[in-house]
Amino acid sequence: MAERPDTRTDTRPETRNKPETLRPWDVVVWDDPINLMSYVVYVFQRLFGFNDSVANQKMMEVHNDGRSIVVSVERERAEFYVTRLHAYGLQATMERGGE
Amino acid sequence: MTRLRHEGKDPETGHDVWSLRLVDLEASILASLPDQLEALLARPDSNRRVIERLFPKSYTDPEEEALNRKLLGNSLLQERQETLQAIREQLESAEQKPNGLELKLDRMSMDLWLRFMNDVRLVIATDLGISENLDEEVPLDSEDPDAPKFALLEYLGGVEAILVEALSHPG
Repeated sequence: MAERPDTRTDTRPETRNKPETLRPWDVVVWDDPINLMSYVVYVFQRLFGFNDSVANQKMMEVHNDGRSIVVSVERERAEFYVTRLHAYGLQATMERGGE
Repeated sequence: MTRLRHEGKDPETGHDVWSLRLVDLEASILASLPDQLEALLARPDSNRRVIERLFPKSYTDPEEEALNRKLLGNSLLQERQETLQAIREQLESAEQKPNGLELKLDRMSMDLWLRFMNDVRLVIATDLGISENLDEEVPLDSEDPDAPKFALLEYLGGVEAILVEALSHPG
């Protein structure tokens, strides 16, 4: 995507200047000692359509870092994803992106 | 032992079909679980920790979370109850074999089984208070009163792994 010449003097991230409704929400999946790693990969592929590589990478982030932002989307979509992740038994929350 | 076999494609739908063999002992244990889970879901006040694990918060902000819960209503509970009913029906309609049952599963029904078994594992693990690495908490003493629960956790995890592997690599 082409970028306009940056004439801003404010160097804070763009998202801070966006209206509240346009800021994406991060869907965060948290580590859990019970869910199998292969099951988490399966759930990521099924819900988000990730390929093997991306699904594994996100799962390993959850495993190693304790959490991973799996997608950043508009609020209603984020609520939908978090609810689906809960239905699969994963620990997930949503938080405003760009903080 | 659990045996899963890819049976090819359904001639009408073109979808992958698997057969899952359960010996009598497995079938009877699995058949007892939906009622147990349903009874637990029906008494949320007596099973607070488990309920919080199965229905975690979406928002950290209490006001946002309260509104979200209000909008969701009973839909998440109903979905879990429907899954339990579907599992019961699949077990009831399974073909009786000499030493157990044989279920015919497609992707959708495998997905239901995975969610069901995973829920049971979460309930058992929460009940046992497992918060760290599961492998390190398994009691070595078979006389330990929690040993049967750990055995069920391990068994269900094994079946889950078989189903996930099959869904990832059909045929």
